[in-house]
Amino acid sequence: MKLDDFLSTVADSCKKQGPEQTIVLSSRVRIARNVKGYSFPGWAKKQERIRLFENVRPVIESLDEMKSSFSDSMDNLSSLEKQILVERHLISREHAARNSGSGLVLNKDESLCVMINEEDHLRMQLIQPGLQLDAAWKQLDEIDTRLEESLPYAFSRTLGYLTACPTNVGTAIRVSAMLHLPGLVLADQINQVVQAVSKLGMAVRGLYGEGTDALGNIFQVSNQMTLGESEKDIIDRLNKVLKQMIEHEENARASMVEKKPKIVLNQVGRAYGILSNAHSITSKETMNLLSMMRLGNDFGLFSKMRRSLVEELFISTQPAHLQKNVQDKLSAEQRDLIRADFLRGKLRSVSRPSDKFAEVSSADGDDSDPNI
Amino acid sequence: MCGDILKYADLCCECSQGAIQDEDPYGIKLLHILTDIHCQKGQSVRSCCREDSHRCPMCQFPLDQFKEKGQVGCPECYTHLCQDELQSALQLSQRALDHQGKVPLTFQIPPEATMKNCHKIKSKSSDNDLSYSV
Repeated sequence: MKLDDFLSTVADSCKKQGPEQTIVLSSRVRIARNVKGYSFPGWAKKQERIRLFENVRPVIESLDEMKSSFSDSMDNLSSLEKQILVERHLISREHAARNSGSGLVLNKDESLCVMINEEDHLRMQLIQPGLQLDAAWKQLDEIDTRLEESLPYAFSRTLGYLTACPTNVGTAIRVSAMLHLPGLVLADQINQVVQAVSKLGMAVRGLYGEGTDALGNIFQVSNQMTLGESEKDIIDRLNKVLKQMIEHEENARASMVEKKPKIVLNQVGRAYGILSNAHSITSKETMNLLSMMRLGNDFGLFSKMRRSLVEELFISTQPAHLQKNVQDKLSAEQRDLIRADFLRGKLRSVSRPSDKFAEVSSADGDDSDPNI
Repeated sequence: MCGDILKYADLCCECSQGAIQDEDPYGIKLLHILTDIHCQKGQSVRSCCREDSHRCPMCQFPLDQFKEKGQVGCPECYTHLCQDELQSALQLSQRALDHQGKVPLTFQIPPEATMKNCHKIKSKSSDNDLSYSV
């Protein structure tokens, strides 16, 4: 089966609901596992990688969760297909760069993805909408326990699960949540929060993980350390941090509505104006403006807009998703034109945001600068 | 064994490494075998693998590459590569140096087995006590 036929539409994949979804877009638990007796993928020769892939792939495919799954070797996927998987957060950018001897198995509802021969032999990730780290870990733990019956994992009593990089040994778990934090960004508090979170041993990254920008005010928060703390403790600690971040974001939003409502209205109104009228727009600008529309929707400024529409546009306007519908290879400029056409079309049915805060703001004299 | 000549020597760990290095025409292979045997007897790998800890005997991964890229070549590298380097990498990046959390079933000691062992040890020690008293 071709990947395009397997993947659900972007609209469908964004309809999933979860707790705390106003701020937490998704929760992800990823574990790394390696098979005893094989070199790690980064050091293994091509033949060894292929041998491991051929041995491990049927074991993964035989899992109950992988019934009707998509499974393929990376060299059978086009670079466009790989990029689509990256844009949907199903594989890492590093895995997209790999070819023969590496592959993936993706379950039907696209919540479970196993990357074979990424940095480690197996990188299994489970993604859930909203804040559901405990549920995601419970499910992934069960899958992992079943896999270990067939795969002899590389494990040390002292160091735990052995991984290619010592920064992952131990539990080899990376727990993360994707947060939408426009309130903290607009209130100029985001740096303080990021610093505080970093001091608690958590990493704050951009939309596509390590080394990426926080486009669209989306931040990925994850644990940094994997050794010396159990999976449950790591998840509990991250949950606590996330709950505090959610509280800070809610406070920042509430304070903004109360003290500077015009800023919110201005940002949301401009975002809607540009997105629904532009004839050329970059991916970066789109993401940042969509973030403001999402914020506006959270404030109830868009009466008939479903939140999943913004999520859908976040993904659909990414380069590979735009390219997928066009035969010829698009240049960046051409993509900007197509993106703008696409957005205008999608936002045609969305009515302009209400000026809900107009009366409150008339008494507020601080909002004279329309460019804030 | 050195060429065609078989030599016997009672050497300590340090001296045996030097002797093999000096006389073994095949170099590190024999050293690997001996240090492996030695390590299996309970001596720490750290103290007896100084010379060959620059390359993993299982996958031939060089320590220099670990220093450069921060990754190792295979699970065995954690035992055979220079422990000081690995320890300091772990100390820098991790909360502690002992694993807490999930353990694969094959590595778990079933509680019944532990109890059986306890009974065995108990009964052995009581037998010994008995023989002593007799």
